[in-house]
Amino acid sequence: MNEFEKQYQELLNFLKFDDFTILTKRIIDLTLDTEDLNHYKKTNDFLIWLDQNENNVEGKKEKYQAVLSNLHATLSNKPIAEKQVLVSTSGLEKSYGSSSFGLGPIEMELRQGEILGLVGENGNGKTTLLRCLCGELYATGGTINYHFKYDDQFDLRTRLVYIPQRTDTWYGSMFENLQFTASSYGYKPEENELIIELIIARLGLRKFRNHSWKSLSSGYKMRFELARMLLRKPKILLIDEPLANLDILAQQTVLEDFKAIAKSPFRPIGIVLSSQQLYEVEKTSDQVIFLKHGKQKNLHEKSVSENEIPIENYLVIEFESEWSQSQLGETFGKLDLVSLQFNGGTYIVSFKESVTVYDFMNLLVSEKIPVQYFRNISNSTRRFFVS
Amino acid sequence: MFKNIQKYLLINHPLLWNLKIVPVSAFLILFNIIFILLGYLNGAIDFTETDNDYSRNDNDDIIIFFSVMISILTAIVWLVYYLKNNALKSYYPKNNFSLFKEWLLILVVCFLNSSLIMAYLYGKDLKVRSYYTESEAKKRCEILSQGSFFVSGSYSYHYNNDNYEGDAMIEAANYDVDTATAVVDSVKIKDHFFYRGRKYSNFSLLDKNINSYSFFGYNEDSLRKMKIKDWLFYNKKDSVKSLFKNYLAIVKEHKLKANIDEDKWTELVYDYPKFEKYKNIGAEEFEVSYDYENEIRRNQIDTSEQYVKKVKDTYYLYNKYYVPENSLKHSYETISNSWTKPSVSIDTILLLLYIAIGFSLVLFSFRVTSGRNFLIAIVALGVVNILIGILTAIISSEYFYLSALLLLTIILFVYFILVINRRKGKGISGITLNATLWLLPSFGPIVYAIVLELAKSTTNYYEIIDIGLRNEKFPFISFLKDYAYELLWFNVLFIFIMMLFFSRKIKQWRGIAEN
Repeated sequence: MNEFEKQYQELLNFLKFDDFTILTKRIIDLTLDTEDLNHYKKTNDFLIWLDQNENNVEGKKEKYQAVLSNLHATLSNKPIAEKQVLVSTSGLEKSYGSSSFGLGPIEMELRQGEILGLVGENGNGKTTLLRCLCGELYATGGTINYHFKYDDQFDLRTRLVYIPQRTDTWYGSMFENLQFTASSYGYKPEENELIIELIIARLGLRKFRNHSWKSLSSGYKMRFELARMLLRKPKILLIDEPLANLDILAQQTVLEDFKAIAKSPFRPIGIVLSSQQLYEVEKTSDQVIFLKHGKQKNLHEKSVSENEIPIENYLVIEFESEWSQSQLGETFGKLDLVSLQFNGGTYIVSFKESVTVYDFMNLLVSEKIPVQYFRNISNSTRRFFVS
Repeated sequence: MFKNIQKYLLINHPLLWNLKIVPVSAFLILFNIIFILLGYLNGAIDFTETDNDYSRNDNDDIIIFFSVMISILTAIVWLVYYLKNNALKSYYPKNNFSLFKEWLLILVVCFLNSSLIMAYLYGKDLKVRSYYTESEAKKRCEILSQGSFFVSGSYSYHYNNDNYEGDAMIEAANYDVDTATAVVDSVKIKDHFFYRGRKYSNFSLLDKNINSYSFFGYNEDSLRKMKIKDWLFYNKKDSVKSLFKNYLAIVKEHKLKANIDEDKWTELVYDYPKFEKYKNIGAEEFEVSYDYENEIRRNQIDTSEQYVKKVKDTYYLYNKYYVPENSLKHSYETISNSWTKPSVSIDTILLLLYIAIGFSLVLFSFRVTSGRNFLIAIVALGVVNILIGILTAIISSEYFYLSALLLLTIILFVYFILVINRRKGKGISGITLNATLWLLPSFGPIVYAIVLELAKSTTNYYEIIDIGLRNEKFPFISFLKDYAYELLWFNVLFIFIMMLFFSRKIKQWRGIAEN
């Protein structure tokens, strides 16, 4: 079963459990994958029908099924894209003249369909790395290799979309802006409006099509940037702090969107995103780079370069408890305790690798240790933040 | 309609949509037409007006003021819409000619926006030309020019004319060698001249000058004058009378006032063969107001020709006999100029083109760089200009200022090319690119001025005063001077070619990393 068939099965399950919201989004993704005007029209008609028949569950199911089957028939014949390397860096460094801060050396490789998360505290080089990758800053050392064809630097930058944390203001109506992008990118006149309708529906922006930029919340501004990005069909999307200013639900939705966009079986793209939301990013990303003072730290990987710090495979647990550190230390001493740190409201405890998470849970139960929550961060870059 | 056109352009031609080229061009074309119409309506000639009439009511100042206001407002509104989107800054795909196309379209808008005054003046010319065809106007100017011979005006005053000696010699030599010698010998006391061997007093009517119109050159005027003199010399009274008839017909047509008819006019001025006893025919009825007490004693008024009239406390001098020559001269000069020196000619279009190129380059440079770079460039170029000016004053060399500007342009250009090829970062090229583009139109003229000055100073050009000899000895300098306008057109071509080059390079430059 290829990637598309797997995703298709997943969609059938969404239908089975009446999860229409996500199903609609995924149907739009598949429609865009067809790159076929007829499908654009059919799906647009379907979306209009949905607006008028929101409560007709049975009718909806039938329609969904029909649209899905139709898309399946077209896409099952379409070749699945090979996941090629998009960009790789070798000893990438960036320094700012007299400033003491310097980024790198960075070694990384990004393939189509992959999401690379950049995490680290503020001022540690995440934005610098993104700006280097999108061509906005030049590397003072090492190289960045883009593994696709382009004519010149400008042409390269048309294929890389960088969305900074503070985006530029859009003037005029949102819909016109998107139409301008689409026609600039060579979309045929007859597909221009249809494709934009699909994309704004995909990102839940239909109500805001004629809004002005200033009347939008930062979450919706981000979505419009994503809509524009989708029209630009970039090779790589580089996005700085996309989750900042978003509520928890919106964060999950945006990350889910990224995943769906990156992992399209037919038009996969590479995404590099920076964020402070460790756990969310880790959940979504295929690889994570932690930056501390501009230096790269890769998680639980064999040491690929001398810059990387070897990490012991300890069991590291983050938890919150009302017990004091001495009480906890005494109790955890019964296992192979390595360290116990109090870190601003939460505790981080490390055990030797022989200890498992089940041993920890057994201890919690047997000793009746009050715990609000705990999280196994042995495989999380969270460790870098506390170490 | 514009909404639909814009909608079509948005999905078919994004650049044209972004430029709002259709609405702004339509608006400007409409206003150009309105200004042509205004010019046409305002261009009617008041045939009673004279050169001395300062209370003209032609609304020119107000219309020019409004044309400037409309241009400024149009530019502001257009820029507000145009600058809303910028595909280059957003890194949307562009082909190699896209920026050139954009600049050309900006140039069209700037041209149309700068041409309102020209449209107004063109409308005025159109109206003035609409009175008569060119040949009819020319015919009338010829009649008026001939008629002016018999109206009060200037004399040749041969005794004052240094250049006349040769002519007098030749004229006299043809008829009477002794007289000719006498003329040469008695230069200082000469109070007469010879025409076709006949002696005339310097105050003879034959010594009168004629009024000229821009239709005619010096030769045509001389021949016309000679023709009238011949009428008098050969006593062709009927020809003179016929001229007066034609002249007065024009007067009548324009409902102007003349208090003599052709018979009276002939009677007053025709005094064959000497033409010394004739009456001055005033060029207008009312001559001048003046302080009677002081003036009357100094200027003995010939009461057979003029009279003084006191109105309230002011004395006025009136002509006893007059035709409206001053009014006709003024009006027909306007008509003549509308054909020979129209307000809108190839030269004025060139001027307008340079103005439009200037505006378009300023706007284009702002568009492709950034507001910050643009402002720094204004300040930097201003400071550099002042420094070069100070150095020029210190060094006091004619070449220094121009050479420094030329050198600056070349250095900025080379720096831009280096930045593109180095691909390390834009450096300060955003600022210098603005300055380079602004200096581009002046490159050709500066080279021209330096080459001309060099060609003059490296030869003994200044030592030779005779113009004819200069042209003969220095054909290259003559060429530069004679073809200055053509070279300015050539410079326009140069600007276009350079912009084609720049447009491609600017696209590459835009892709280079910032600092």
